Order: sequence, then C-alpha cells, then structure tokens
Amino acid sequence: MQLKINKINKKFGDLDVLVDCELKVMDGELVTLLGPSGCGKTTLLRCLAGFEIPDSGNVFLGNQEVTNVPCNKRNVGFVFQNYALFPHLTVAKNVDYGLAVRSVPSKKRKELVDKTLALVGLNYLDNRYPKQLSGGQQQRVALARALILEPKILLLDEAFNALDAKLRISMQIELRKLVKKVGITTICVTHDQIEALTISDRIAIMNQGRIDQIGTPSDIYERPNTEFVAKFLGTANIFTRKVNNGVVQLARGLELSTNYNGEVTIVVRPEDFYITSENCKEGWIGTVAFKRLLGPTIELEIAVDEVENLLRLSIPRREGENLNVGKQVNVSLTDKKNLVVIPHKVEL
Amino acid sequence: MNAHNNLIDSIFEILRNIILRGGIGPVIPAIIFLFFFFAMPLVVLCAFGFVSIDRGVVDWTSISLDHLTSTIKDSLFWHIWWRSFWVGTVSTIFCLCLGYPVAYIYTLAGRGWQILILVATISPLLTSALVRTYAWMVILGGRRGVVNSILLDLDLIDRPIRFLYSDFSVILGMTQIHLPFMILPLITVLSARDLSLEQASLNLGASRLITFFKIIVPISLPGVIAGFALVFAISYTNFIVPQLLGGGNYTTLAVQVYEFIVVILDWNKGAILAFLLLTSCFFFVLGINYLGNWAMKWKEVTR
Repeated sequence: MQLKINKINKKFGDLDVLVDCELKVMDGELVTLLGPSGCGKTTLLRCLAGFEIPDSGNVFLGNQEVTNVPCNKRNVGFVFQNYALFPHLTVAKNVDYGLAVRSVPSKKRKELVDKTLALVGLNYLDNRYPKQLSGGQQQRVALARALILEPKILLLDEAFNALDAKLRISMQIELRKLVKKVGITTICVTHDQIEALTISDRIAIMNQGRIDQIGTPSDIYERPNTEFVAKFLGTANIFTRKVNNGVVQLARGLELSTNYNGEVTIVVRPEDFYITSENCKEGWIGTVAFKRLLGPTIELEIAVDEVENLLRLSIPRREGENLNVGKQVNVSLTDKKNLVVIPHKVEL
Repeated sequence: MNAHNNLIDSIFEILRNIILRGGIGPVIPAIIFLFFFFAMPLVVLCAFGFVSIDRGVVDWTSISLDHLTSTIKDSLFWHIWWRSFWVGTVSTIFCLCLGYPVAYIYTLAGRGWQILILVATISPLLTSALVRTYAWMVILGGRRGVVNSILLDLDLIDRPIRFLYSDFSVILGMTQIHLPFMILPLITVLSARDLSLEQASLNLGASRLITFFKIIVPISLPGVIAGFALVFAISYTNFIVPQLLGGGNYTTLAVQVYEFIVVILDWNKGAILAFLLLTSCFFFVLGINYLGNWAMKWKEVTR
C-alpha cells in the first residue's frame, strides 16, 4: 500500500527530533531511512507504527489518514531491533499471536501459521521457544509474525544489528527477495550504508531530524545533494573552493566551469582518482601515507602539501602493488564529469 | 614464637584467598555463623520432639516417635493445621492481588512517584511487626477503636462491629504486614521487563488488557512465584498476628508452638509442633517453586 508522510514534526522536550519530514513511498517499494544515530530515523518509523504521535503533520496509508490511529488499530507490521519475540510462547504461538487476538477460527489459524512459517523456511521449528533459536531464525520468526496479518506496510527497525557480519549480508538479500515476493511496501531503518545499498529501491538520508535526500542508491552515491550525504554514503574527498567568473580551480591544471557563484563544495569519490606518470601537468603531487588491501581494490591515503585532508583513493589492486608508504606519486582525475559540485547555501 | 607467626600468616593467607579468590570462600563466615546460631538450635529444637524431657532434664537415650504419632493422630492438630494453612494461603492471595497493581504502577510511574511508592512500601518494615499489629488493634478495636468510633459518630451503626478476634482481622493484619515482601520481588521483575514485548503485542492488534494478561503477567511469573513463596512461608508461620488480632481462642500451629514452649512448658509437644510446622512449610515452598518451574519451562530451555 502507498505511504505518504506530510510535514511531520516531533519534539522531545526542547529537542527537535523530526523537522518537516516528507516522504512518499510507492506500493511495493522498499525504502530505507539511513542516518547516523540520533538523526530521528527510528522516531519517524515509530510515528508510522503509532508508537509515537507526531506533534504536527500527517501520515497517510493508501487514502486513509492514520496520524492519530492507535498502534493496535493500524495493522502495520513492525520488526523490532531485538525482534521482541514473546519468550514464553513457542514459535508457532508467536506467529499465531496476532490471529489469536483477532479471534480468527482456529482451523484457519493453523493453516496460515503453517503457510507463513513455510514462507520464511522455519516450519520444522514450530515447537521451539525463541531462546532455542539462532539470531537469524529469530529474525525470520519476527518477520513471519508480522507478515501473517497481511499488514498494509512492513517496518523494520535496525533489524540486522543483532546478527554477525556474514549472516547479516545473506539475511539482507533474503529479506529483499522475501518482501518483493510478498509485494509488501517496506520501510527499513538503518545506520549501515552497506545494508541500505543492499536492500533498498530508494534510500532516504536523514540528518538532524530532516530528510536530506531521497533517491535510488546510485542516484545518491553519484549525485549527493549535500556534503553530509556525500560523506555519509560511501567515502568522499571534499574540496571547498571559490568560483571566479564561472570557473573553479580544483588543482593544478584542473579547472571546471559551473553555473554557481560564491563558495562550492566539490566531491570526488575515491575511485575517480588515478595515479598518473611523474611528468603529468595536472593534478596533485603527494606521498603515500597509508595503504591497505581490500581484496580487489587497494585503498590509499595520499598526503598533499596544499590540501588539508589526505586524499583517499581506491585503485585496482594490480595498479597499486608497488605503491608503498612514503613513495611520491602524481594523482589526477579519470573524468571531470564524475565530480559533484554542491553550492553553499547563501546565509541571509 | 616462630610457629605462632606462621599460624598468623597462614590465617591471613586463608582470609586473603577467601576475599580475593572468590569461589565458595566468601560464604564461609556466613555458613559458620548460620551453623552455630541457626541450624544447630533448630536441630536441637526438633530433637526435643523425639526424646522425653522431665522437668527440664533431657533424656537423650529415650528416642521415640511417640510424640509425633500421638500428635498426628490428634484431630485437633489437623484442625489447627488447616487454619494455619487457610489463613496463610488467603492472605498470600490478597497480598498478590494488592501487590501486583502497585508493582505494575511503579514501573509506569515517573521517577518521583517511584521513590514515593518505594518509600511507602519499605518504610513499614522499619517499625516492628508487633507495633503494627498493635496499631491494627487500635484501629479495629471495640467501641473506642478508630473505625467503630467514626461509624458510631456518623450514626451509621448502633453498636460497634466486632472486627477484632476473627478470621477477618487476622487476614487483614497479615496481608498488610506482609505486603512489602510481595511488592518488592514483583517490582524487581516487572521493572526489568522488556517494554518492546508490550509494543509488539499492541502492534499485532492486541488491546492493552489482553497484552497485560497474555504478555506482562506470564513474563512476570518469576516474581509472582518468589513473592508467593516468601509471603506464604512467613504467613503460615506467623504467630504474632493470630495471637494478638485473633484473640485468646484463635490458635494456629505457630501460636500453639509458642503456647506449649513458653506458657505450658511442654517442650516435647512444642518441639514436635515446630518440627511439623517447619517441615510442612519447607515442602509447601518446594511445591510452589516446582509449580513455578513447570509453568516457566520456557525459561529453562537451551539451544
């Protein structure tokens, strides 16, 4: 079902937790709210579930406004960070809980429980207690417990945090396949950019209670709107420069034209640099300060005199094999078109 | 001299080990204390029930079960036992019904109210149970009692109501005096509970009432069992309250033990009653715990 959030504001005491949050999610879409801890993403999710009521603004599910509907009348699926499985009930009883309180006939309940447990691949564990399950199995029970009620939307709050790194990736892929198979509109909250990139159709980046940017993963990676977004998703080299007559000088021999005036922030992704020959007329000259191998690529940090921060490069492994710490290198850009130029807001 | 120093050194060494190394070491002083001042007297008391005592002289060679068999053949004993059991059980159930809401409200309240509830719960424990029992006599007493005099002044009744010296006054007094022992374990368990379980229940469409009975109550069962066992044990064996609020003709097993040992000076009879009271109490508490473990088998499972 379609979800629309209209100008939601929420304060905890004097603290602005959510400021004018707006979001529209299409039917069957999987959107991730991504941001650092304390950015308000979990509060926004809890507003959708009805655990929090926003101070102002509206939430629409389909055509119905649900802003003030109590959390037990919304039929919105919620998977908690710790899964919140009922420890005194077996797996089957946990999954059955929502049907039992709705007084669904017991024969139909049994059928639905079997079907839903089969969907998440756990029907052989129906008589176990949550304590007897692994983290991944517990997460699947939590999903089954939410999905059995055919909720209007599914909400996941940092649902992969409790899993170890290897299992996390496979559960993320599995989750995406599952919600696409069911066709349910899903909102996930996470602070993990890899998770957001893995599962999302679109990502909404949140910062200090605001949604900074919404877009597909590649949109956001390639065209960040703000410096915060550029730094938060992936690694970014940030250069602050002044525009002179529509031209910005980034480095020796590297100029680009822009329509913006005043100060701009230029974002360079690590893979857009490359190591040039010694007599190259453009780019930066520096020394390798740090090097680490990340499998197929090598990450380099290069100290350049006229640049405050170290340049962070990512180059194919074979090209960087003999670039050891202390070696002098020339660095340039593969293509100026890949740069992102962000204008600074004019302070009034 | 040298040997003397060595002895002191080795004592310090043992103390250091006890304090620093952990293990069962740290409980040794408590075990020694309890052995001499609790277990030994108890064994001696119980032993008195199985030997004959003549004018304060114990004949340790005359071991027999005569006192035990004659006591359990006596229908009066069973009558008194039933009253102990009944009064203990009813007041424990009242404690649970009154204590649970208090503990639950405590977990919902703000910090200020929490402190108030805690002070109100614990402060009665600072006065002796005897004083509180006397207070109930003042409140419930005859024409001059607080309740009766108010009701008489308001012309709601013609004659004072006989509150004192009944099951009512005994159960009322016991419930009030033992209530903190029910509230405290319940608060411990309820305030440690995972609030997301309740939110999950609401999210799945359950009302707050259903959430309370299907989630909160089962989760808090360990506290209920602990409180129930504790309060039952002290209610079943309490002798001050039935003695004072029950009046002279109201006897329970605990009152009988007191009467026989302190008033009548029949130590044989008193000791055998004490033995029966304590062992039966022990088995009741064991039974409550067993039932609790059965109801909480989900807590014991492992992967």
